[in-house]
Amino acid sequence: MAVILTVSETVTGAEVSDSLSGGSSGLDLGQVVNGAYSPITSQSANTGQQEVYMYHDATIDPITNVAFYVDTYTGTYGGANSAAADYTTLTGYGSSDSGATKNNTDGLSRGLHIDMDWQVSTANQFSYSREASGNMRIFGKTYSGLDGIAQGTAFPMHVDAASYWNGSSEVDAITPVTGKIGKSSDSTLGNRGHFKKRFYLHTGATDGGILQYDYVVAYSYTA
Amino acid sequence: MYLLRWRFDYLDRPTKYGQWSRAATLETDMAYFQNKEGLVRASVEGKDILTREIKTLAECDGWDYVNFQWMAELRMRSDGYGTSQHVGLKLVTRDFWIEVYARGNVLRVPRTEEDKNYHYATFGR
Repeated sequence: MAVILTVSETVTGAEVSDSLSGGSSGLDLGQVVNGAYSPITSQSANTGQQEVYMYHDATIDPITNVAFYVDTYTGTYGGANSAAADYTTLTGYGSSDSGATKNNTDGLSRGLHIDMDWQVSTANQFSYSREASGNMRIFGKTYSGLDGIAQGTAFPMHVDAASYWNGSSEVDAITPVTGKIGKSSDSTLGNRGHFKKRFYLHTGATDGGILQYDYVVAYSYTA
Repeated sequence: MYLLRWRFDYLDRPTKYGQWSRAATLETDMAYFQNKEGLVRASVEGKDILTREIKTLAECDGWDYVNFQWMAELRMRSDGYGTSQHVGLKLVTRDFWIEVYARGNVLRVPRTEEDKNYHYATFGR
């Protein structure tokens, strides 16, 4: 039976369905200004992030090999340039990211960043020191051969992104495994993937306008 | 481009097949549900969407078979958002993920130790 994966902004929420420029629906990260990031609450306090939750309806086995990559936008394009150009811009931002500050106070961070630890503290989230552990990833930047810009080089979901929704609260999965999200009753692997996203823009960015891309979640389920 | 399906060949019973590039709607039609006793070979078959020729794209001996998995993708920000699409069919053996993609390419990836330690559901064995 087909397994439906749901991506939401809250732990039990419905699928994200922001209206996007051009007419498609998806997830809108909002507006970002040079030298900052989006979503943003307080740059100095390193607050503001897009929470993303994933859960599924598999009944036989967990889903496995959960991984993320960005691709050329496949919706009805409504950006400032073209879908192909936006993909080049996005991945180019990632590969040339030279930032060192989690809240972009050095103005050198750029592109799509992901922090795959649902319990990371506000002070530590999106810190570059967390790249070594695999928690923080930038799409377009290469980590041991993986850059998150194609199916074959997708970033696997980190174990720290696994959580368990017990019906009343979100708790840590008991023994999470890289790339696995368990069935609804699975407190061992966890029944949620929960991570945080931000889009960064460096101070030297010159092009304005809407940037559109596909954020792809790859997974496998028992046939 | 290929349509993909799983196939089981048995020592003393008729061959069983999955549906072309779609998950079964009934549990009894799923690969996991099929009895594995006397399984001689598990394979991924592809049907060329232009020529309609059917060929074996990956296979393993019955003793080496672990599981079949659909490989799916969910694209955030697209007109088809919310509908996962199959991109391939994976044959899981004791030591490898053999990933067969609709484009016809096959990747043989060593399984992680964590995955080897996981016992996939298998009805009838």
